[in-house]
Amino acid sequence: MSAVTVLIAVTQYSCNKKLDLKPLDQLSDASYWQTPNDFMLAANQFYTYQRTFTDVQQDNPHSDGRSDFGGINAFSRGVNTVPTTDGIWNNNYSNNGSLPTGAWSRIRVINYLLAKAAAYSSPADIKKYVAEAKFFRAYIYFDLLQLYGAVPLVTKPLGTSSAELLAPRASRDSIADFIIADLNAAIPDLPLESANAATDKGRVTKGSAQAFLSRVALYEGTWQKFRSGSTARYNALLDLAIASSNAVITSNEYALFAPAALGDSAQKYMFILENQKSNPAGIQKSANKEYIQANRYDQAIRQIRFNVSHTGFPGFSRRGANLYLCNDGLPIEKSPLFQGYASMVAEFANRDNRMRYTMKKAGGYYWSGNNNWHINWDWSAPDLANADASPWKPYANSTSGYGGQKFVSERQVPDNEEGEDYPVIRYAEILLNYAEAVFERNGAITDADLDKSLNPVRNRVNKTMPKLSNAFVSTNGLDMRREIRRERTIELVGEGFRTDDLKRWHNAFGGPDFGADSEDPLIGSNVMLQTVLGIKWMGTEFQTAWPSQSATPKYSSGNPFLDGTLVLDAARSFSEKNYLLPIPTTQLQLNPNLTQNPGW
Amino acid sequence: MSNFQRKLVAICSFLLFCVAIISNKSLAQGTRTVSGTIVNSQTGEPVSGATVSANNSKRGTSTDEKGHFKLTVNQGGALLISSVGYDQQEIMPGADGIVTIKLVSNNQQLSDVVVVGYGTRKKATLTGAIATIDSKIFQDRGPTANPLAALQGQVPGVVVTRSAAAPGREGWNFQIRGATSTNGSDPLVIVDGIPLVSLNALNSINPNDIDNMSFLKDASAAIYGARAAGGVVLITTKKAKTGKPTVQYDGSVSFKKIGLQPHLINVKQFGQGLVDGTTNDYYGVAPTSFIWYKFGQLQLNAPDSGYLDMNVTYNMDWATGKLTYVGTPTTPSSNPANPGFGDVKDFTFFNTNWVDALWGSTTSTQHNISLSSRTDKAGYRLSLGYMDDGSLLQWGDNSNKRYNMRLSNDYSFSDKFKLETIISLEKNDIVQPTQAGAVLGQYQQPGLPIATKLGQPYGWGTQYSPNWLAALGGDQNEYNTRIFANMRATYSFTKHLRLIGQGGYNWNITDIKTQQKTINNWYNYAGYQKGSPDNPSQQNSFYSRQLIKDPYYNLNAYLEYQNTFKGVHDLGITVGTNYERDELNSYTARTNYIANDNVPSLNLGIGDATTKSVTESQSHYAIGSYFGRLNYAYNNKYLFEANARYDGSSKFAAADRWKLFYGFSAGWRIMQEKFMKEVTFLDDLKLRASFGTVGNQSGINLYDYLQLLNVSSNTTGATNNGFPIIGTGTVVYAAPTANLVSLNRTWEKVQTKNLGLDFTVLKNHLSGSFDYFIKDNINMLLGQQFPAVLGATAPSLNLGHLRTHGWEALLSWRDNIGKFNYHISATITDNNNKLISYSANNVIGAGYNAAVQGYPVGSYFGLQYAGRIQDQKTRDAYRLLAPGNNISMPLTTATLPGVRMGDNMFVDQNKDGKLTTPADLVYLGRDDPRYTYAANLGAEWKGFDFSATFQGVGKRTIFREGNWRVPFGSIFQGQTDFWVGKTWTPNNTGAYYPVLSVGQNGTSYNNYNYQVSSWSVENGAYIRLKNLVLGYTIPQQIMQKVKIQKLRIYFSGNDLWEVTHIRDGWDPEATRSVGRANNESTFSRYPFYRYITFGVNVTF
Repeated sequence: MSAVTVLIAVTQYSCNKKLDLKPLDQLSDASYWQTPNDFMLAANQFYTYQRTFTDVQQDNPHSDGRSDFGGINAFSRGVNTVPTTDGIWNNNYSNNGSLPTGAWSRIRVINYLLAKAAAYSSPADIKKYVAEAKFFRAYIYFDLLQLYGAVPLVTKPLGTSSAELLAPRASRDSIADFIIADLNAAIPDLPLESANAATDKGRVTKGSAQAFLSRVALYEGTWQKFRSGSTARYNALLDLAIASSNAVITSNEYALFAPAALGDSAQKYMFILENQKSNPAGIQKSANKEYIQANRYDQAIRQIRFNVSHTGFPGFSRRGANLYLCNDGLPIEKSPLFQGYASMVAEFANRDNRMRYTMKKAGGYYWSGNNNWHINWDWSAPDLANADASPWKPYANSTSGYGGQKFVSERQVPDNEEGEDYPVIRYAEILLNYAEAVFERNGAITDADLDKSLNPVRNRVNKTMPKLSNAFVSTNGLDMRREIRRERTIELVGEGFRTDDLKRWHNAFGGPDFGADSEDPLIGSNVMLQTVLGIKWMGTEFQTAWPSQSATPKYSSGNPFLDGTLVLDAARSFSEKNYLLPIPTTQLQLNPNLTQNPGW
Repeated sequence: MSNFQRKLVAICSFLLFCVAIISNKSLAQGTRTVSGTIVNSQTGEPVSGATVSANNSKRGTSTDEKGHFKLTVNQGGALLISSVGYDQQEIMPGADGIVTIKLVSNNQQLSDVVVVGYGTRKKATLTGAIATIDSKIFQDRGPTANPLAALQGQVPGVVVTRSAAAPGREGWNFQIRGATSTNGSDPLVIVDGIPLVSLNALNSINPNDIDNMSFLKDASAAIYGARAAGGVVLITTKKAKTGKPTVQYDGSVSFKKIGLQPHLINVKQFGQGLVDGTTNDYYGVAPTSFIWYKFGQLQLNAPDSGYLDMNVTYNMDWATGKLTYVGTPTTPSSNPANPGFGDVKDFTFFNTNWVDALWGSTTSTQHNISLSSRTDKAGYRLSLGYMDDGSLLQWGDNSNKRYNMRLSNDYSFSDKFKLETIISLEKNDIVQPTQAGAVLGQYQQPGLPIATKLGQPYGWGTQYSPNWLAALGGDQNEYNTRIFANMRATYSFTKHLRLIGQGGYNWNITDIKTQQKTINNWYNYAGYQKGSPDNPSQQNSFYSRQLIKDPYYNLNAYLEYQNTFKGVHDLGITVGTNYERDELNSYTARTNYIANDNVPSLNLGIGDATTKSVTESQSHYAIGSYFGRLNYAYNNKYLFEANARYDGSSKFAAADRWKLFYGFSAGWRIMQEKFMKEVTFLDDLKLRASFGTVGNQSGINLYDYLQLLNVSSNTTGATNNGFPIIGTGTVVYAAPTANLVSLNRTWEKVQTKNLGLDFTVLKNHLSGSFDYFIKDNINMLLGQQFPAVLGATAPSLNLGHLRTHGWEALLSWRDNIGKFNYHISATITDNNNKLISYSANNVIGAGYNAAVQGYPVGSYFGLQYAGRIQDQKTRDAYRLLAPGNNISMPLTTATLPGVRMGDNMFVDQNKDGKLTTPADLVYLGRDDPRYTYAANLGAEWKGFDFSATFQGVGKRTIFREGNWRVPFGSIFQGQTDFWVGKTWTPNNTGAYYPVLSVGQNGTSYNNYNYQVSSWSVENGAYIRLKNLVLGYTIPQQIMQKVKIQKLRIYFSGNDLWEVTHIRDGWDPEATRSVGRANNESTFSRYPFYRYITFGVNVTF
């Protein structure tokens, strides 16, 4: 009998070998994770997770369209409801299941690489890709933190019986700490931008991680500060924000894009910089040292495939437009240079140059697309003749009377084929992060720190505008916090910061009282409850040029900078619960330990 | 071996030249007289009218009423005895010239030996639920594309359904004893001991080569272990029979015409429907400026010529429909008589019936010839088969041709060693129009002509005549080649112990060449102007080539021990091992933008790189097994059998690869008991019982235990933004697939229990059997939703328990009245199933549900119909159920009426004051048929034979998906006329269908009225005359003169008649998805057909 047993054992062993079949036309764990290149290819996918134009120009969570600036949708109104599923929390995939688009499926793919890396024989060879994985894990968790607040913490690839499936949310602090820890772990193993090989251009660098850390620390630090968090906690976070933004600044790896040839239009042309001639000076992408991390496009090899030039970024509103300083450095309420609203172009006079290069001015010439391109870049007659719907009529195709030109390519390029890069992180933000973090940490900021951070941003295209300084603030009765926030809002408008800034400042609804008018878009306390307003119509040129708006309600509150404007939306009911998105209901059913966000 | 090889070479050369056998032996001289009696081998009763002939002379005679005969024969000649209903026999009379011949009834032929897994068993001592059929079932059927076609209703417990009828794409499916799993559990089909890799291979086997089939329905299948859950079918092909060399020819020609098809509405019905329906949709006010109302008016008031050229002006009063010819040239889009179709050049109003235009009759033929011979040591049989299945589609190339060659050969080297080989070549060529989808989609709207006045392709805006797309759009040619080589060696150590080794190799190749041609001449009806843009344009022309290679081999060996001890203990033991492996391999290359349609080649694509693609797929699997069986019988009275299989599959990781499956069965032959000797009316009685466990691995993918990774690279250029730029180029990336590795799931385990009774009574005239079974799939793989933090798509898990139980009965009566022999048999099968538990989700949706706890798999849920709104009081009360509904029920608002008189009403089951799903859904029935039955009648008289098969389904619920079941479900397309004249109007309140709506003006009345409900589901019960045969065998006395042993001619008909309750016009056997456009089962639209066959059987 034992002979039979032995016989069966032997044949079964040999049979087992005959039954060990591995996939023939597809990679699997059996054949992968064996060289650094394998890890690099796996890390490459993470670059599809970066934000891009659709995130800020369509109705997506970080878009300015969900802020007070012209956003008229369920989210900006605060009337969104609890969904059964949503595209971020749920496991969604595109490209026939090969590309994760939901946050948790992205986290799984990242965790998968990290788990495989932990078992890799020579970790030193793949540390760069491990660092990239950690950067992107932090990137995704930060998105979850901003949108949902505290979420469950998943740090390894799960199976169907993993306990984490039924885990409650981790604390908000532990999620923030986890993000910070991932970034801190990534920083030492990432190369400096200048040390990044030409073939690696576009990969995450040390600067990317440090810059992102400053964004995270400032976000969480101010979130806690304006919600009565622990002082020690938020001061530590603000210190981290200062240290990490300072590290980026002192690395001297980056610079604001300000070629003399482009003068005061440098910032505008940075956003549409392509390797084809895309600006009057023919400057190319290689001249741009400002983008710390970019989602890179190119007409010849990777088109944006989104009608970025004709979508434009979501609405401008009166309240947003009023934030641009006059070129004496003073707000319109205080500046003698402000020309009022009588003509359609009056408000553009004597303002921060970014106003006329970001918004569109009545009677101006703007180019876009395949038919209305900037032919000679010299504003000569053929150029002007080829401009789009020229001269521009604000009332032609607009509800607010305002238009924007950020990211609108001026060269001849068919729709969807534009190739400008999307700035995932740019240096100007880091400078502004530094200024704000220093101020919020210390309640004050020195002129030296302002000159190191905020003033270069402001003066890039406003060479003659006075610098922001403590003296200037006190002389003119300004508020330093308000001015720092103003600079950030103006510089980063349309790039997906406004909504998130209002949330962390806690001034979308019921925020801290800084003694300002609660309608104040910068330090007011109920910003998202305010009516969305368009151009001033009553008693202005618009009244005759745009008679169809006569039936539109007009604003009236006794504020001369707002009265008589078009009321675009008065149905605003943003409340405390709207600071976070609700968790999709099916997820609460599937995991009874998962709690809904407060108020939902 | 060399002897054998010589033999093989000899036979092969014989094959190659295909020379008819001429038996030309030297004859012994002199004659003598032989006399004898012919009796039925079982009953001992004399057989009258049997034909007796000598094989070496032209003489012949037949037996008298007592079975006696006398015949003068040449010396040394053998006698050939044949009689309808019995197997032919050949014997050599002894020296005394007196013989007694026992003829074996071919109905009883299988009662002797039944093929079971790895061996044969005597039918009398079978203990499992095993049904058998013989070759007769495939006779007289005309061209049979798939043997399953002949099995409908014939085998108790086996339900055969069909889903498509296109040549070469006939969709035949079968289930043994109902559903076993929602993941599917196709029966395992084994041909001469070697499993078929895919049931598709049944399409190329020649049914004429099948000798018999066994269906293992219960634990007797456990010897096939992990793949036996759906039952096992054993096909044994024909071998040479004892006797002199014979040549047999069977040929037939069949006329095929389309069967049941929906009737389409004509121009006037279309126009009236549009006018009435749009008026209803605009709440009673004729929308005289609405395009579809105008279009309806135009159809209703069409000129007699059937043609309006929009290049000349007409005036049209849309309210009255008055059309006046003006004649001034104009542009078509601004013609006052154009309802608003900007892209058309004209309007046509021809009563083209697209069913008639596209489909018609055809002819199919088949020829089979076989040559066989057997000597003491060797036997061979060669058969050649040809089938040409014609197409009902009258446009384009469409056909299915099958070529079969099968050689089976056996040779005994000695008493101990025997070698059998079977080599089969099957070729199956299928041609269909590349744009068959255009023909099988919804038909064009009424009015469009088949061709322009000048006979050109007609194009109306973006509507292209389907017939021309089929005729001119290119062909898809599929060439299937299957080669089976099967060798089996038997070595007998002793009388009791044998070793059997078998090796089988299946080589399948499918080569698919698909060409889509440019069609650039689409004209208006008058033929002088392009009616539509090119379609397909040259850019969209393509040629693709797919090559699929699927080699499979199977090696098995087993020891067989058989002995009887002390005369009463019968013992049989079989133990063996099996290894099989399949390697699937395919690539597809395709190029668009062909330079010249006349030369389709991958070399002649003239587009850029993005117009060309190559893909490859490869996979393999292997199964290793040990199996065994033990039989014990005491005194042929108490029977016991145990079988088991230990299977290892490459689909699992090594740790959980192996699993044991087993079955036990027992039988009690009650008639063998002494106390039964007194019971005279009973001839035989046997009680059987079995239980066992079989496996199902159909829910498991090939490499589930390994995490797979996708490697993605940009192949489509700059227009694909999915690939980030790193450095100066876009990157390739790799990532684990969305599907989670599933280590903690295993094969579905199906426990089967069976209780059976076999009986023969009334002097063997009446026999029957009855079986009751229960199948429990105790760990069925079902999906489960996990929290999203899992981050991946979870595999289905062993969560469900499906219980299937049912019964099957077979009753057969056979008798004769003088020379009139007749038999009647009937089978009926039922099974019911219920998903007993599903530990995860239990979500019910309206319509078809694959798995809901407490209900059968494939259940329909819908609303309960509550009658029609006939009075205002009812209507007003019913309208209150609308607020908050999610069933498309129109709301009553300040401006909208909500539901109207003549609309359907549904029941608010939970009485919550609003109609919602799933809360108000009720169970409506299941899609799988129940009570499938068949009755066979047969008779023979003086050379005439007659048989008829009625087949049907007792209960089935169908809810047709897609928009064919809804009037104007797709307003701009052709549709069926089931509703014409039968919709509710104030003057026709008893109408079957609700108020006509065409779904315009934002109304949802059609969605509401025609949603799945107890009113809208169809009753799928039917009875159909499946087969009718009338044959005549020319008396042998006549045929002997032309050296023909037997000549029979016959007429047969398939699917000639039926009773059905289906209202939408489709065949009762059509699937639920037949009405759904552009889905995977598009071919289900191909009309079922009726067959009339004339055939001949000749034996030389």
